[in-house]
Amino acid sequence: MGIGRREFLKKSAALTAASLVGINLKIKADGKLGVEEATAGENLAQIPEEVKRSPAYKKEGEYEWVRGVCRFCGTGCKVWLGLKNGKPAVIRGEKNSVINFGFLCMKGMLFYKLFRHPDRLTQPLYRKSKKEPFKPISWEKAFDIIADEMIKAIKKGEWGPMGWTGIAYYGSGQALTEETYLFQKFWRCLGSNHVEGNPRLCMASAVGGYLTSFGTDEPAGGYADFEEADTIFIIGSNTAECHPILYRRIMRRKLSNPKEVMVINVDPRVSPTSKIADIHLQFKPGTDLALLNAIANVIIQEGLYDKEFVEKYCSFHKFTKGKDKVPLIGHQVSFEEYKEFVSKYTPEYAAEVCGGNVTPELIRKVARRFATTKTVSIWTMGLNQRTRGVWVNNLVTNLHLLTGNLGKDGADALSLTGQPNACGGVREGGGLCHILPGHRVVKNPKHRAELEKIWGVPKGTIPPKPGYHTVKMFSAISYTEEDKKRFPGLKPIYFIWVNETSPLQSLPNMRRFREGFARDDVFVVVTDIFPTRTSELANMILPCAFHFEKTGVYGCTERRSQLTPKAVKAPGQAMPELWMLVQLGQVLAKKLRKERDPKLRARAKTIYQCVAPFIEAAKRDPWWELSKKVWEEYAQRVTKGRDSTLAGATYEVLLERPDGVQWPAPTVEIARKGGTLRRFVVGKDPLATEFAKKHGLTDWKIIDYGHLHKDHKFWIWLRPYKGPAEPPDAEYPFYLSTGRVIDHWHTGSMTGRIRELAGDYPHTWIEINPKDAQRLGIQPGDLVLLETRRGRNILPARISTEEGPMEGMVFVYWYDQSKDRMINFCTIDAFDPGSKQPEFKICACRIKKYAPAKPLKQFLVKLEKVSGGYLHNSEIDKSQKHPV
Amino acid sequence: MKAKVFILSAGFAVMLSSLSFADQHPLPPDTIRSLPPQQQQCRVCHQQVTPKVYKEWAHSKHAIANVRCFQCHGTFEDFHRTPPLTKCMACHYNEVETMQKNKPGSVCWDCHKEHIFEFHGHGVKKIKTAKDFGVK
Repeated sequence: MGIGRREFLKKSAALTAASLVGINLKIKADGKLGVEEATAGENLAQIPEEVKRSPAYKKEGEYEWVRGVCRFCGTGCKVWLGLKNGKPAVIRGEKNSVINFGFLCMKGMLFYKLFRHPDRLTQPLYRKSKKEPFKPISWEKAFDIIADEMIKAIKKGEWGPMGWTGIAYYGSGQALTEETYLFQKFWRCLGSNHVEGNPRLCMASAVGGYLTSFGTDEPAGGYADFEEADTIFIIGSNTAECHPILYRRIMRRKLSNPKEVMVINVDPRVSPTSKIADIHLQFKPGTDLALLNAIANVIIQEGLYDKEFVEKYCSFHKFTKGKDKVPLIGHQVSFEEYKEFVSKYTPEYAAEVCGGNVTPELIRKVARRFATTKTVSIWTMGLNQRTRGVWVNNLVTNLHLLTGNLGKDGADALSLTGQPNACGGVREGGGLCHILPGHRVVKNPKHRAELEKIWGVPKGTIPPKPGYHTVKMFSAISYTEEDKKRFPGLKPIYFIWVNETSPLQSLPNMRRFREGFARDDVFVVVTDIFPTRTSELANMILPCAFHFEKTGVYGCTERRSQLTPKAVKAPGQAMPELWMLVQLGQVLAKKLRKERDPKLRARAKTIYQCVAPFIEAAKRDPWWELSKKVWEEYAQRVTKGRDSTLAGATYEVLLERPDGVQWPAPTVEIARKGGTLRRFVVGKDPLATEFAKKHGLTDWKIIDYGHLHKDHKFWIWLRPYKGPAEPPDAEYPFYLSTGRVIDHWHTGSMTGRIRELAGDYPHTWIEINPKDAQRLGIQPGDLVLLETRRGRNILPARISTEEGPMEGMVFVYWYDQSKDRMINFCTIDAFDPGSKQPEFKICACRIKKYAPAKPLKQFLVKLEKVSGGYLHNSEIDKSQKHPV
Repeated sequence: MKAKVFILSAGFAVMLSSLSFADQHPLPPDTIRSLPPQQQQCRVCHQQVTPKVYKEWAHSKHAIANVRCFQCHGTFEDFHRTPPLTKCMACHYNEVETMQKNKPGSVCWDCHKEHIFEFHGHGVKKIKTAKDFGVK
């Protein structure tokens, strides 16, 4: 390359924004407009009477407004959906919400364009073999086939301690709480713990972190701490793009107090989040454990820790493999032992391990700031998607415990949730293989018995052993020799129901999973609103109602539950999942009654009993009343008496509140006031106050009442530094990391269909450090071949001197549906042994220039009419077909 | 009170209906679509053709909070040289409402300079980039 370094940098600076690369499409790609006009005179408004009488509804001129929550990240922004002449026409923020104060990001203000999008799935589609086209069928026929296939899969599989091994449910942090709750209830009542969901890819390590540090899941404080904090410590989160409305609050806090407030961003990549940062700590991917231990070491060495807080409210724990039985508990050690443990993480040692711009002095500076001011830490996937995700979560919380930065205004260790309902629906609703609703666990016989009693099903209905976690579940479908070797005793799965998510684009190292799904001995049911990379390998596609087309609750990052009522008529035959389950339950019960195997026959009764309380409501009004009925069972009976109690948060209260209710909210009175902002604090958290009284802890100001911590103290964990599963080497010399862009949500099946968003970012790209690009002769916009041990991508290059990854690292966004640009063919499926969350964020790769820049088109999976039914465009178009 | 509500809602109705009267972008959309893909995003071209406007935006709180051109000016199909107030109302509904009540007919940028949208003085002086942190 005949181009000097200086000239190169100059050029790439000029092309910084330019190299964001292309647009080609402009919706014209499919020749359709973004929003289909409803047929003349058709009124799409369908607002329940109870909502119309509540503060969540208002009428202004020709506009009707209904209040709900945004579904495009875990923030939980409150929105008003405006319908003009009975058609969704505009979205605006709710000013009185303490979450977003009226502000919205581009996704939140534009999603009304999806209600009548022409690509919406509107009828149940079925095919016996994945080689045939889909044919429309009736709902009755669909339930008939699903019930038959479920029974067939149960019989093909085995019965064991985790229940039937042949059937699985894979849900989503975007499903409503009512939906996740009923799906998992359905599966447990049928006798299977194969219940998982995409929060395993997103929040599992945070759950593990809170469970070990607090003894119970979910954070202590909330967003309100941003406005009180002096230091905001952001680690492993591109908040500016992934939680834009929270970032706005941080920005406001910082810019209004430029001298007093400090923002520290810790990330191997300089992202838009750094625009207002005072310090950006750039470290080699996977060295965060060393960095955090070193900060703790400085805090102790310099005597900056809160002695009173540590002495009174904290204890120290360590897990030694082979010696300790329960990883969540480990064994207790002394402060001296902890001090000794962190003492080897000197700032000098950590700086050497971390590389980047980390110096011993910078570590000391950050440590002093952290310890001596009110600090809020926030993090997301950068910490969670790691093979030591739980440990690194513990290490951040350790800093807060050491410095007493917890349970005070402006001080909290706050793990941001990626999805709108990963907390509320899945973590609290029991949507993972090892947990049950209301913060219960499968392994605990008392917990199982409690639920069986509430549900009115026989004792022993819920199998005693957790089912398969996500990677194992999908390995039980691909079932290759390698999978069997990796998971000894693995039993195959023959039936899977994928709800509101697209795992065949979002799972790591997914080639073999896709090949498994393509086989005809696996029956795949997909419920979604648009065709996806997963529906293309389905047997049955069930059209479900979109947000605001059905009713239900989302629970966001800060333990806050909010209701979104129905406002818009769903298109075609699309129905809410709750209705589907209630119908299917009845069909399945009838069929099971005829089975010969007594174990199977006995399940007819339990599955009927599972849906029985909802049959009447489903008949009368599946859009509002059914959800309300399910919520009543969940909130008032299942969460009652648990730490995540929402017993006081009735639909009535949720309609009233401009910003929902934070649990614990044991009574309607507490819920009406918004619930509990500050958990564990005596006098502020009703459960802590009661606990103090009950246990005679009269002089305790803060109590860790987490069920795992019998000493009622917060635990500081001794966690050694450990690198990633696959560090770069001579053959694959680069770190590969992945993430999200503000415009697009996850796999882009929704945001890719909003023309403003798709127009700005029609396809993904690879970010390369200018020094690496220069070395490899890669120009902005050039197509780059990226290879890992698992797969390859061809991506346009973005090279920027202002933002981007550190030297030796590349970064790719994962929303693109084109076969050549789906980065999860390349990512690694190594997972955290505790949380089972895969290490999306780090693996080794190599890159080289593939071709000069050329215009690229957006690719979206769609259904097309062919002779004999429907096929996905990706099934027809060879260039997009996979597996080939 | 009732009359006030009526006037207000009538005002809003006029503002909302303005949505349907879109302008034409000076450079026709088809011409832009024929450009190399790297140059099709609004901010790429406008960095060159209207550097002052670009700089004002880039140093605004809007830019830090990732509010981009299309959120106010729309896309080609829905392009407005001067954005209708409805676009502001997605986030600043109450402010627009109060403004219409107190000074009917006024627009946000009467007081808050367009693209910067600061009440006094200028935008955010220092937007940090990689070179500010001594990173590699």
